[in-house]
Amino acid sequence: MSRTSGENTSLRARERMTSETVTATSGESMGQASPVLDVSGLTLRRRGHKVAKRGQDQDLVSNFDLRMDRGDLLVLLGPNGAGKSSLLACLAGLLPPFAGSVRLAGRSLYHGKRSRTAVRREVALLHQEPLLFDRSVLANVAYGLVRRRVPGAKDLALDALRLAGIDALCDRPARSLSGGETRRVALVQALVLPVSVLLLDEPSPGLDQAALEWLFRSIEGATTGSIEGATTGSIEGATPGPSEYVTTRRAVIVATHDESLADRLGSDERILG
Amino acid sequence: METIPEALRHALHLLWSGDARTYTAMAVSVRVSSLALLLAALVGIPLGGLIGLVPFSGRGILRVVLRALMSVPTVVIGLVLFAVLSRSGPLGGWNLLYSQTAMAVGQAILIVPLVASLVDAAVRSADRRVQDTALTLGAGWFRSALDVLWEVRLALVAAVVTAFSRAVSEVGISMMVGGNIRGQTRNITTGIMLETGKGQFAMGIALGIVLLLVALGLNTVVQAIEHSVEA
Repeated sequence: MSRTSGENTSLRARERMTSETVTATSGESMGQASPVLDVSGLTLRRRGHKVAKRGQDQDLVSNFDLRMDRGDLLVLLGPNGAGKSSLLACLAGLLPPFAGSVRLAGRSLYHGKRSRTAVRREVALLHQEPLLFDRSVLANVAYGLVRRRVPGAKDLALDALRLAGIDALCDRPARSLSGGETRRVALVQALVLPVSVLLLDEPSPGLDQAALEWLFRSIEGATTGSIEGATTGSIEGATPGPSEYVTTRRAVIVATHDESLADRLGSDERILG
Repeated sequence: METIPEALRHALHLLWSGDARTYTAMAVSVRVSSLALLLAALVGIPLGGLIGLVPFSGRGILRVVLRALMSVPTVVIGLVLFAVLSRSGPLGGWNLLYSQTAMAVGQAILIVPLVASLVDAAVRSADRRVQDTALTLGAGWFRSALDVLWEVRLALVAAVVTAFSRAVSEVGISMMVGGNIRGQTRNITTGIMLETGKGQFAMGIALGIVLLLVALGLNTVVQAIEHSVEA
């Protein structure tokens, strides 16, 4: 399939995307009443374009449907500017949709009674250009756990860094890291969270071969809920973390323009753009 | 023109001899402007943060108004406050006219727009991803705003220093609502006015040099703090 981002290609691809409603499946998701991620009729529009022109051309994403269960893995494939990042930002609670709804673990993200923060804690997003806080690496990784008042957050974060093989970085100021190191720390930061849905936006650039292998293991682990792969929990019971974090199985979406990464992950694909 | 060398000698003499009136005026300046800064920071930092982080209609207008308010002459603020606090004014019963509190409130009014504008600019210059990252990691909005402020902490220190400098160097408000009462509301700038009125130019400039030395000392402390938060 050609991946040129010329307008015709782009339009055709969009038509294909909007005309079919793919349900990402991994066997067991069939027939379950409440998927962990339920997106319906989602339309995203660039800010400031609300009244400019009517019609589909200004929609970043239009009428997008998606249902995923724990353990599902979906690759979102599309060229630059296809709306992958906007879609993930919307699923993460950062970009209110123009139309449609997002439900996480049965609760509405944008239209619910619960506070958006509470629903947002069901999802973690690895930004395509991750930014770490201007603090130590360990404080960065522990951040999301501290927000959720998980006991022993620092210990869990340290264990997660150890399982990722980068615990040597833990006391470094995060802003002194290289690009690849930053991405790995940011990935650990997202993986350590007890969420239902994990969103990875272009997770591979800047990673060396070993780090790539670790990324694939982590994605695998996030879907199966295995300790090593998911990098959550503790080793040898040193820090008895809540067991749900150790075995949380997640729905994972990986957005990428890189077909080889998509092939390597070898799962359901959605083409966007 | 012998005024300048004489003034320098005067200034050093005032400091070395421990001149009570000079040190009292210094203390009034620092105490009043510190209180003003505290009040202005309590209002201006949240205000600037909100303007910088929350898109609401009328935000652009508010920014323009705040920036325009930075140009209001101190003596006008002093005059308005005087009218409010004077015996026949709406708050005349509070008996605040000619007090350090009145001076501090006036200076706070003076620097709130400055603090808010500088904080707004600092927050806007912060990377958009800081707040987004905090939110996607499970922070509530308030917490994510605090993270942004922490991210731009050096700019906040700069804003606070600038605001303090503005407050401590103004004379209009201190004169109008302080009244230049010796030992009570006479600070360094109103002291300079008095010396100038008496024709004691050297003494006036000497007090100016004293104010400069105070600023130098404070900024040295701030520099040390900056260094420690940066490390």
